[in-house]
Amino acid sequence: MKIKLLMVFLMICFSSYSQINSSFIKHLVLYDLNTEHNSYLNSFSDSTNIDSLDYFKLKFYLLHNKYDTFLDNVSVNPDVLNDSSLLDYSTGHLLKWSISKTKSLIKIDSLFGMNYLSNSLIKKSLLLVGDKTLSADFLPSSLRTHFDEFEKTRNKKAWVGGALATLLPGAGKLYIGRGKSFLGSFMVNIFYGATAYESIHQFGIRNTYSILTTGVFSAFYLSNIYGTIFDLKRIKIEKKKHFLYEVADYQSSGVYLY
Amino acid sequence: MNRFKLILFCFVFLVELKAQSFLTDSILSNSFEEYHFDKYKVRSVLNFKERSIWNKMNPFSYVSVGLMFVYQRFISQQLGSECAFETTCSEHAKRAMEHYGILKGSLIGFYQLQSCTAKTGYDYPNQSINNEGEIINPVELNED
Repeated sequence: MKIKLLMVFLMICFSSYSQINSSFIKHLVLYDLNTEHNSYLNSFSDSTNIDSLDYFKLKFYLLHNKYDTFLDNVSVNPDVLNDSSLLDYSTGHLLKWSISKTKSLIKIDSLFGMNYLSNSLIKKSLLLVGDKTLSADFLPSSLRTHFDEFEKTRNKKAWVGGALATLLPGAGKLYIGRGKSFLGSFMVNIFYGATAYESIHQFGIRNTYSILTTGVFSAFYLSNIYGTIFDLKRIKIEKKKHFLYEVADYQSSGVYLY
Repeated sequence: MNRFKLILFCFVFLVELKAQSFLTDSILSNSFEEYHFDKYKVRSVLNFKERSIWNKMNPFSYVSVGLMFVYQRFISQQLGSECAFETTCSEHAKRAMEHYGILKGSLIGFYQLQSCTAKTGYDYPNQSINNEGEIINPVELNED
């Protein structure tokens, strides 16, 4: 009886010794002690069978933006994919930084895990962004406004923006959604246009000053057209990223990596 | 009465001493405080290493390299104006020229120049604004 009691006591002692101190990790994260955090996690040898070690290591990789190491570890140790909360906050965190890495994690989950992410908000949102025919009814109202904004931009045509910029310098910006810099663009073009017109009218087309002012006006006018088309591509990417960022934020709100 | 005067004198003397030491400390700290100079931005010279042979041999490339060099080294430094974008217009134009070629690059540069107003930042989402309130404007269109 005494031996049994002693054994139970010893087991309790060993188990408490081998556990990771989560409050200590919280302290390390909050005070930004990265080196100490890494050293503490590495102080546990791989042979030690601690369930939570893998989770803490994965959280560490996410926290320090080591996404490739994170994905490698998940692929090597697919047991962690059974933890739905880990998948929730890791997809949320990954999506804020890289769309391709999030897709990789979803793929790893479908191949090696329980395919938990197949019905997740993030996967549906990623599909929604890529396919115009899909319905956005599943989105909560707070995300719906961001999606509507993205959809509005997605349907804009580059040639319309270019045509408007040709007709009235700066109008293309109004169309693509850069309204705040419309006036600046409009005034610059009008000013250089007027200067070029006046110099040609006064000195003739072969005059050096006329050539210079016409050249500057042409550069601004053409850049206004080409820039509008180029900027629309950027805005589409920007709005897509913004919407996905909001989805990620919605998914991982209140989750801390410690 | 004399005692009182003596105490008053000592008190005033002490207060003055304290004030003097405070003044000395503040003068010393202000005089020998470490002064931080703004780092001089080293700007690379425009190059077309990654572009085709046409861009390398094109005389306009050499003209644009020279113009950009003169503007960034001698003119821009003396203007001292604030830019709404993280990457300044000339730097952005230079990178765009390196990435897209002279024609497209210079058009992108001119486009940013006419977009640079005090209120431009309101057109961009929060993710595109850095901690200093400048617009993040990479040349490449990164979908990831």
